[in-house]
Amino acid sequence: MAGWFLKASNAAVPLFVFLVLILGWRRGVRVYETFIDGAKEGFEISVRLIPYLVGMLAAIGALRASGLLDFILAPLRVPLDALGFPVELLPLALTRSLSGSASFALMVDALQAYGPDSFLGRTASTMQGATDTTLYILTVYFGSVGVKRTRYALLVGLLADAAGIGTAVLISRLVWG
Amino acid sequence: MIESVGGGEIVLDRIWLLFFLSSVGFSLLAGRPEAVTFALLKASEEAVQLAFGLIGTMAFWLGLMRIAEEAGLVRSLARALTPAFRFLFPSVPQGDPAEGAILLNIAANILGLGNAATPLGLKAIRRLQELNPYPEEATPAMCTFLAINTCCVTLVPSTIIAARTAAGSVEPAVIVIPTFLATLVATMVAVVADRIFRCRWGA
Repeated sequence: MAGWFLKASNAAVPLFVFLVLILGWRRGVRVYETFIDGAKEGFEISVRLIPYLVGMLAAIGALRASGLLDFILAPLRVPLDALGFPVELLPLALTRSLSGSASFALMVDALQAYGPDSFLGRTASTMQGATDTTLYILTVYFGSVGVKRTRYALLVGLLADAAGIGTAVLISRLVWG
Repeated sequence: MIESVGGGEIVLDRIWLLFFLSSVGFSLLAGRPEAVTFALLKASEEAVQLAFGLIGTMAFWLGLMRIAEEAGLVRSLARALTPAFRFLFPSVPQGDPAEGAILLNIAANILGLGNAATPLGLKAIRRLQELNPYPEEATPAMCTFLAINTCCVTLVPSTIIAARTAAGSVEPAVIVIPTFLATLVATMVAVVADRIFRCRWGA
């Protein structure tokens, strides 16, 4: 099962590139010019990320270096282990619904600390992709039209986040655990 | 995903403050304040290196996705999703402008085009608000729309692949199918929970 997963996932990118280019060509898109336009945006996004990365990586770096992170996570290790949840990724899981840039920085931190191809690195990546930032989305969308009573929307969003993160851990365990 | 950079993060403000105050306090108690000094300097430097490592892969992905967008991939996918629309949004009149905006928003999200999805989503919710008899309260259609948006099925997690490539992964895309499955489960839970709450709440 793991082998099949790896092969299919790894073929997904080249196939996707191929498909997009064929489609662009068939539909008369000026592919190179369009590519450059989009690439400029990618450049801007990466540069805009810097302050967020500095802020979050410094915060989590201080938390880890002071020993406080281990101090808090150590007693949680046994119960979370029993559930099959990697305790190292608890900060990421808890931040995911609050802030996309913060959880992105925490994922990058996990990639750095444990290696992008380790079990923890892969699980962190899957977790980050498993759901979107509920709080941000509700704030922006409801805020833009002035809706004040949001009823059950937050509850549904958080339930979905929990389901996404839980599934991410479960699949990671099955495939890479 | 990346559109969540900036804004709307009040809770985070407190958490960030707590992180720093407690770290410094704890390191003083534990007698190793120098470890914090070192970590702060190292983390700041690393953050910039990481962002620079991201530039190349991010530029490539967004360049490619712009071609997909121009080629009408978002529109084709939106058309393919139309049958699901009537089931998900029975209260939106057939052929209403909200229908197009919602479908395009979901299609852009599936393709990982966060920057294209947000303006479409804002257009959709503005139209849903016009259909809303009580402007201060969310309608069932709004709740369903946002339920789908807060997790949204993702076929191309481009920023994550870019970050993994930048971190030196030899298999940056191994996470594509697991991520797709996890978002699928999250979205199903969101849709089912939304239905259950909608009936309980009495729409």
